[in-house]
Amino acid sequence: MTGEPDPQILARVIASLRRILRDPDVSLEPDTGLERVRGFDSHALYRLIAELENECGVELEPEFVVPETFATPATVAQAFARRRVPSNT
Amino acid sequence: MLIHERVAEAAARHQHAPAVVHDGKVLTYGQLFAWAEQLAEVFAGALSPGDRVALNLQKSPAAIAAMIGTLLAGCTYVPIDPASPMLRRRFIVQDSNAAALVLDAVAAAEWSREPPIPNLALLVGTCPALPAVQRASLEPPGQATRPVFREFRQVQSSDLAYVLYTSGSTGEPKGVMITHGNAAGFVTWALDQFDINSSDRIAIHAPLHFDLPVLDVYAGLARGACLFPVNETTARFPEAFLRFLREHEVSVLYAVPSALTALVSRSTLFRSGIPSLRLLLYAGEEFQAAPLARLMAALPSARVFNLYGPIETNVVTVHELSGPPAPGERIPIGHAIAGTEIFLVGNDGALIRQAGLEGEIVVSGPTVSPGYLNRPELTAQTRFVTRGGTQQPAYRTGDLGVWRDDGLLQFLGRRDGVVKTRGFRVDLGDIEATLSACPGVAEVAAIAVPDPEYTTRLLGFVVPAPEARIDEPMLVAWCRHRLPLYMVPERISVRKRLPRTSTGKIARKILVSNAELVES
Repeated sequence: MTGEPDPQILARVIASLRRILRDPDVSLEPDTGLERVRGFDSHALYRLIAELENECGVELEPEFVVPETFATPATVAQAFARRRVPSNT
Repeated sequence: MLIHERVAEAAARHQHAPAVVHDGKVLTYGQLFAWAEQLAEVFAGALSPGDRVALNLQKSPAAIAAMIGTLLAGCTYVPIDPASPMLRRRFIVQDSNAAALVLDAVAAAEWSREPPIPNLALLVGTCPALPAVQRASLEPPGQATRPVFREFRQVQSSDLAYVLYTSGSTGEPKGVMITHGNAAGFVTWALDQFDINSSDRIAIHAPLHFDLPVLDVYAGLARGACLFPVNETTARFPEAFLRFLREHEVSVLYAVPSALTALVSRSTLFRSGIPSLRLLLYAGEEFQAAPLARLMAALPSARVFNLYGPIETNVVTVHELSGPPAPGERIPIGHAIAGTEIFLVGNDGALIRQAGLEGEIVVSGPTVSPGYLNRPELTAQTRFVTRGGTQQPAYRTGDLGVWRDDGLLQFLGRRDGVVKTRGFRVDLGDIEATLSACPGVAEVAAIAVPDPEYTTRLLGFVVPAPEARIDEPMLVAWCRHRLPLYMVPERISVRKRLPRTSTGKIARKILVSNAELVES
């Protein structure tokens, strides 16, 4: 995925991850590789999707629930930003 | 025939056929068995018969070669969950008194930061920081190397084939010993029951320290099938897993209901199913009727079997579903497999033969483990001697069941603090013991809350000691350094006190009923 992620959605992604992982030792930056983040298992993944769907008001279709989408907080934010309906339409 | 003998026979017959496909690379039966023989040579040269070989390896061709090589050398392998914390891995290596440790590159980097392991006779893999008497490479032999099919050591059916560690009640895992006779009994049954053949393509979904892959690996290889280990990342994402199954045209899949439920609810399974899948096996936990019915509707060409059996017994009952279950229907675990006896025992120790009466499931037969490694008292606690005096040890599963009117066995739940989450067996006492060991903790409770997707979710409750300063992140970090991820409670609530029953015990039912307050 390319392009800068929406800063608001990115902040939500990182905040959700912090809430779910509850690990003060984990450093989360936009480009942090989630595969290597301890605690980011399938359970954490599903909770993250549920939180973001709820907060962003969109549904992430199953075909996007793949490793590429969840590579980093930035790629997650990009995926949700693409699904969001612009507020002026 | 013992399991490694079956693999050897198949390797001789199918030398040029694909045995394992992983990360785009194909390993033939000849190459896989030559790799296993190369490792067997190393093990037989450095170790005594029966010595334990700890395998800290990702699910991979190397891991399968090391498993077979260990058995060929007359040794016993101990697969370690590579995702578990180092403290737990180290405990397993030491508790099993492993004489050898086999590491891939990822594990080698992790172990290189660890203190030495005393008395390590052999280290396979590249980890200069870890001292060992002898060292060997894990690299496969050259592609042209052919297997020689020589006998390294004679193995008896009473010898240990492998030890699988599972959650214990004391904060430390316990090693379940599986003999060659146990493993051979199970695989022989599986080969008779399921028509696995050389054109099958079998996905290995469950981790290798789990008991499910025993069927995938040994029954699959015995019949000349091709194995497809599913890596951890692919297994975590249902859509990626579905693509894997379609891309490799997998025909046989054995997985836990949680993973299969995720396929139903979080992938595009319904768009085109998995046309190649003809045999679907599940075990490890009860499958809810609704997702199972949807799964079966999406996989009309697959025969579906429910298998049951704790690690201590291997699979001991089987039930083939005749069609998608009705809403709310509970699927029976079926009837005993050949050679196995199943009893139901009441609280008074009497056998229950009448349908409709609840009792503990007790199992006797050739697949039942001789017990826990170095834990004779624990082994004795799980033994049951029938009044008829059965010749083989009978194992008290701790599971409750009932005979149905149609003669099939129905699983009802547990009689103790053991729960299932995501297909893994977890003793809540294990979590409580770990939390209790945290400095500043006065009192703890762990509970399991029912969940349609994971079977249960785990929650922890902690009361701090007077003036102790503890919080949830600190407790989570404590657990993550000591427990596998699936055992770390989703939330840990720090309380001033825990609710009590009138007899002074922790009121777990109140904690479960108030779980939503913790989760929010």
